[in-house]
Amino acid sequence: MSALTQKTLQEITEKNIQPISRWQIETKNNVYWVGTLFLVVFSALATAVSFHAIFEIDWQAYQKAHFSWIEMLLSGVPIFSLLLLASFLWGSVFFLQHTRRGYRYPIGVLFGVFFFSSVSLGYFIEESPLNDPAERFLLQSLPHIEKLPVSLFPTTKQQWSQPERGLLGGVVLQSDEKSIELLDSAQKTWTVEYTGAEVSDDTKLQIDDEVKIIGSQSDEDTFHATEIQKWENSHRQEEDSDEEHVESKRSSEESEDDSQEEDDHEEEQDEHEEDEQDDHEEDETDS
Amino acid sequence: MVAILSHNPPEVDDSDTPSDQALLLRARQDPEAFGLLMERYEQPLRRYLMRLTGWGSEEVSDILQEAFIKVYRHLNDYDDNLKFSTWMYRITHNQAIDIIRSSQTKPFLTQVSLEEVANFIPTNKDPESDFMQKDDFEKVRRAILDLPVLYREILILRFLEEKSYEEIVDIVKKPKGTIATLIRRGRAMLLEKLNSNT
Repeated sequence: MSALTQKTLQEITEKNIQPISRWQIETKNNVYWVGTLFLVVFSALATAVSFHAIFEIDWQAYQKAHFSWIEMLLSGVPIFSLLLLASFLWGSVFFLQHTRRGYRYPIGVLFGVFFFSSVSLGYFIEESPLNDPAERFLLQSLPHIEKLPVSLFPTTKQQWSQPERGLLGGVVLQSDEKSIELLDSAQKTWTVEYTGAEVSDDTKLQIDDEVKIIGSQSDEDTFHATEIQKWENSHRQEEDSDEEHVESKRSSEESEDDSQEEDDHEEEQDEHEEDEQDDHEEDETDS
Repeated sequence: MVAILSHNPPEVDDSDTPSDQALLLRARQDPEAFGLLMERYEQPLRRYLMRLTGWGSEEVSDILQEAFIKVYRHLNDYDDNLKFSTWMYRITHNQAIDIIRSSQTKPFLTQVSLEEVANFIPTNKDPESDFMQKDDFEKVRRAILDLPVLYREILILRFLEEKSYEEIVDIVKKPKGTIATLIRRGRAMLLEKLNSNT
């Protein structure tokens, strides 16, 4: 036996060095696999959120408000969720590379595979009924996401809260032939002059109507409109309004039912009073 | 015999010699069996470390001892899909690379023999006309040790240890394409260094 072998064996015995147990090694390997899987799912969620944000944005409005292409991209692309996606992708590649045979796959291939998986899964989530639970999960996990600047995570509300750049949205408080009073999402009241503006057919500018306005800011609380649209550009909002419509219809039906019941009840009461009156008259005749 | 020529240790047993796998199974219970594995791999790994680090026998023994202890601690982590020798090389290699990176010590002697120098020269070059005629082997050996570790380790594994691409992939834990690129660039760098020195 060589001197090195003897010395090594002696150290193993003296320090009571033991082989690491199999379960520890398997646990470590499984942690990497599970981590990879979780991060791919998170990447898909980040992709779904990115799709959601991109689909919600009214890109035509940016054009009409004379945004340049670069400004449109900076304002409309959800940089925050894309950064999240990039981090999750990097994490999933890192974890997979640390699995037992993960080193055999080139990083570029892994990024490509995970990216396409995330995009496919993310698109599926966005277009499926899973969208709402996924969105709720994200909002619960990141409650401040909607408060991020429009350049990081654009939402429809934020898109139409840029009066200085020609985009204003809100609820009509009052209207006349020349101007409307509008309450924006920041609870600020605006006077919107719309003489000569293009008003879409489905907009009556009645009180409580939600509208989107393209134009220019005249002074601190005055806005000059060039175009006014009803606030329903996205499929989500259309679904919401459909649901509201169904809800209001349902409530009106219920109120009709209630009134019917009340009518029936009144009729019964009347009949009962009439019977009592008849009995009373008979009693008087008998006496 | 083939194994001796290619400087690789035997992987499979004949009737009298227990295989690496058999010794590995025994070593999990009995450190003495691990001693047999160390005996089997000491010389090839020592030679590899000397080529890789350019350090003397004492320093290499220290690295080797640490590597053997690491192998022993990770006996249960052995992947049956790998050749046992590949796994031993991997752990030894990692140990050496960690020490090289954390150490300021420069290689002070080269363990690449004069005969072995020719292995580094691309096959489309005529060694006799380009380098060997100049009788300047020492420059070649110095150029090999001057290469960054990233390239040196791959070239040594490929041309001196005579490892296959698959084995190198498993030893250094890099994808096959990366290994091919490193070999190509490493050779080009070596030639460049030689040309600039002559």
